[in-house]
Amino acid sequence: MGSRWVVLLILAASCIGCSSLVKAHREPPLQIIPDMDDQPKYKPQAAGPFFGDGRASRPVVAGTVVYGLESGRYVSGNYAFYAGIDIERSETFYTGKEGDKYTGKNPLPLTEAVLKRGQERYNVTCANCHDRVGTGQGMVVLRGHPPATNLHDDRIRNMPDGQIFNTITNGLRNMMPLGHQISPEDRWAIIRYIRALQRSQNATLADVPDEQKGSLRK
Amino acid sequence: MFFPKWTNKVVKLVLAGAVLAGGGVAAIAGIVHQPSFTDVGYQPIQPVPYSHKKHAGDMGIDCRFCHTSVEQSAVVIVPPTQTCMTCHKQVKADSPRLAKVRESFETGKPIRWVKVHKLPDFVYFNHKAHVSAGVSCVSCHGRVDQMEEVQQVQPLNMSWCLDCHRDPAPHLRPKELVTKLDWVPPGDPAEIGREIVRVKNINPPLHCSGCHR
Ligand code: HEC
Ligand code: HEC
Ligand code: HEC
Ligand code: HEC
Ligand code: HEC
Ligand code: HEC
Repeated sequence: MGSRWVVLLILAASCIGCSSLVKAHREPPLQIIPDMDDQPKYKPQAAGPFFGDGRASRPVVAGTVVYGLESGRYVSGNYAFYAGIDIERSETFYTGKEGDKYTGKNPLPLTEAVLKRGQERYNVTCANCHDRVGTGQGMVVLRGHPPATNLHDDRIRNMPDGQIFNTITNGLRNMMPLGHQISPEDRWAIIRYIRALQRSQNATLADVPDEQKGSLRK
Repeated sequence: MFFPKWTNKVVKLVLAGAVLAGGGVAAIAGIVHQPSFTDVGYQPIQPVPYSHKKHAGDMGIDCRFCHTSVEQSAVVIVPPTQTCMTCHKQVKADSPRLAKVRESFETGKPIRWVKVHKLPDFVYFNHKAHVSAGVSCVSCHGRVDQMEEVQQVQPLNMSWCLDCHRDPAPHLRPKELVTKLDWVPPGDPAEIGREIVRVKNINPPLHCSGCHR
């Protein structure tokens, strides 16, 4: 009688409680006992009431030097890959320009590791539009983006590295700037890789090492 | 007699009811308090109908195109509006569904994305450590590349973290494949994982100060 009702009530309540919790729900998770879950501090990218734009963390000021960079080398911080590589971080390194001419020299050494890094970054970013071999048929172009340049055009093959660097950083006509999402080191590594791609598409017999020439078919 | 005889029964019933009800409430509170019940399935309504299925799944855009910091820092960033505009300056440039993105780009005011996964503030977590060890996004976030809207699929509670920390091998893969959510290991995942544990000397913390620092 009475106790049966109580039991039924509890069962019903727990069913309602659980069913609304198990499936997808739009409301923020219940916090019955909030412990110290929400401490009075701001985490990266959180909103805060103090500044007019609503951001708690401030956007990076132009010209800021990455944390961990000391006399041209990363001693700590984020870019572990480049920690062991000596790079001359002059004005040219950040702009691709020597005076007002584009530089033809890539400040990164030509090593297998740098090429691999460049390939990875190229595939993450550029390949969406320029596709994986560089002909300009990426998924985004197929879905309505204006055509991306074929990176095997003679014009691009003969273009100084610094000009490509500038295109990545600041964009060009229909290509938007990508500088905010690719570090300068990675931009130079990508250019190293593009040069390798271009060679692979325009290779001649002279590029084959002598000892392997015998294995080629006519 | 002041009370009739049958009231004795009522007293007993009321007492039993109170005990049952109290226990029930405590049990429900206990269950409901578990993140596996409260947090799993959380799928807030986002200000812009952005779809991971379309972008990361169908078009195959790598997670790192937008979540650029995932390999370099403890915190992953949700992309700034500029990142959307690298494509949407041109693609669907007049779509009403992107009106908020254009407005944010013009005014410089950020889009207010609603945070889905949230650890309590007293827990330390680090994406870089996990991603460079070779733990894929899929182990903790599920098949995001198949979600129209992001939904939390793992409880993110302490026992869940520890389950993996005690035996990480089955969850490890070569680092380059971390963002390929549909990757299937060729052969026994634990075997591949054990090799990675050996080579990289992987040793996730089990002591309290590893995560509560
Ligand atoms: C959102 C799509 C998109 C992405 C991502 C993209 N590009 Fe482009 N790119 C374009 C388009 C479109 C053009 C053609 C611009 C024009 O001529 O209007 C172009 C042109 C170029 C050119 C030729 C510039 C010239 O002088 O004519 C180069 C070089 C180039 N891109 C390199 C890159 C590199 C390197 C990356 C990766 C870091 C990249 N692009 C990423 C769309 C893209
Ligand atoms: C085109 C840009 C873009 C790409 C590519 C992308 N994301 Fe996202 N991601 C976003 C945006 C914007 C949000 C915030 C809105 C939301 O939660 O849907 C987000 C949110 C998330 C969240 C939820 C964050 C939270 O609030 O807890 C996860 C998890 C996530 N992304 C994982 C991934 C994974 C894994 C991939 C690769 C398969 C990926 N993303 C690819 C733009 C992107
Ligand atoms: C690499 C290029 C690229 C990036 C970056 C990108 N998108 Fe898209 N997005 C597309 C393409 C291409 C489509 C059209 C897909 C189709 O045709 O189905 C699209 C479609 C959309 C749509 C649907 C529009 C409609 O009218 O159907 C929305 C909303 C959207 N994107 C939001 C975003 C947001 C928000 C971001 C930034 C976090 C973003 N996109 C970043 C390429 C991109
Ligand atoms: C070992 C588990 C784990 C892995 C692997 C992992 N994440 Fe996360 N991710 C989390 C947790 C836990 C949070 C919540 C962090 C917090 O609240 O401080 C989170 C939060 C996020 C957020 C939201 C960040 C914010 O501040 O709003 C994004 C975006 C994200 N992850 C993307 C990714 C991507 C992309 C990958 C793969 C490259 C990935 N995660 C791999 C556990 C993981
Ligand atoms: C799927 C497996 C997996 C899950 C789930 C997981 N971890 Fe880990 N965690 C690892 C691995 C692997 C490492 C790397 C250990 C190494 O490199 O030696 C690690 C390392 C760590 C570290 C050490 C990082 C450093 O900077 O030294 C912390 C802290 C950590 N995890 C916290 C967490 C927390 C908190 C959660 C739950 C929200 C969690 N992990 C969930 C696998 C996991
Ligand atoms: C692998 C990371 C990890 C380690 C190691 C770890 N914890 Fe936790 N702990 C967590 C996470 C994540 C949570 C938050 C769970 C949640 O959301 O309720 C948590 C929550 C807690 C809570 C609050 C529980 C609650 O109900 O709110 C306590 C207390 C705690 N941990 C104590 C400890 C002690 C003591 C140790 C050492 C024996 C320890 N933790 C080791 C990850 C860890």
